[in-house]
Amino acid sequence: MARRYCTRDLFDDDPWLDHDDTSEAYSIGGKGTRVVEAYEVSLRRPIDEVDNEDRSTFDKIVDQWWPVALLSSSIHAVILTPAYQEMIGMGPRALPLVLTALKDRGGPHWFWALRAIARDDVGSGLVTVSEAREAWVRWGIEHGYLD
Amino acid sequence: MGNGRKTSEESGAYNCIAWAAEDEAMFWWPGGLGGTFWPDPGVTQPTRQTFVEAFRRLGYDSCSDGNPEDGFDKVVFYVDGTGNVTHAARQVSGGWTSKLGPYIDIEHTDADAVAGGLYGAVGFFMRRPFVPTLSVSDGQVEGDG
Repeated sequence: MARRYCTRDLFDDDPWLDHDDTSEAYSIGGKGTRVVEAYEVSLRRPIDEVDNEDRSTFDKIVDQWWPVALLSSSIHAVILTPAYQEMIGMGPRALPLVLTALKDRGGPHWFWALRAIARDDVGSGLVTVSEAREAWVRWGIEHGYLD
Repeated sequence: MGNGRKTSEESGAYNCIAWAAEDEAMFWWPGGLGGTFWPDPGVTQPTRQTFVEAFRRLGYDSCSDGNPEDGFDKVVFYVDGTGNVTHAARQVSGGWTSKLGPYIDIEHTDADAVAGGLYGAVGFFMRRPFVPTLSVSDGQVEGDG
């Protein structure tokens, strides 16, 4: 799986580089090849690396709002439950867990938390649950949150 | 919800609002969240007005009650304590059909059978002139309703 690096070259239009090895420096093209420092960004957190404590906390939180989500069409009603807000409050630590839950359980109620935590609406413009689920799972794999 | 008879398997693809609109492919909810659908993507709040305007696009207009009327389809919307819509059901022969969130479809005899709890109270009704769906079978045009 490609690792994600962020260059320290602030003048680079696209600071994200996909790279396959762990070297400290990486060459990029342009007006002559230049070398920039790169460091691995702490985004990658595969599901098998999640702390047991985080997993336990997440499961308890989901057990609280899931019964509401199972019977409710109202996205607003679900996301405004204290438990759902607590899940968002876990921040990036929750991303692999939310993505795995979306992959395994399905349903549209995960999308709000993913958008809030990832600060990206990967499903933007998609109007079916299955399309958005597929897009988020693909995003999770590309960003190293899912295997 | 022990007040209805199960009529479908679980499906997270659509919800009660979609089911009331006779759509089994999308999860209808205002807010513009990717993976959900709303006829006017710019609308964000689940108010009565939001749902009235959406169903007007489908030919519905407000009406006073859920009593069966010859020549009309009816839908009922449920509201919470703030007046926001929580649920919807569609009238069928002999009662109402509801999709419970991303779970199952049920049929219930009265509109208020699923009121209370998560769904709040019966809020308002809408109706539209019944238009039979036409299909061609063996050279004959038939209505399915």
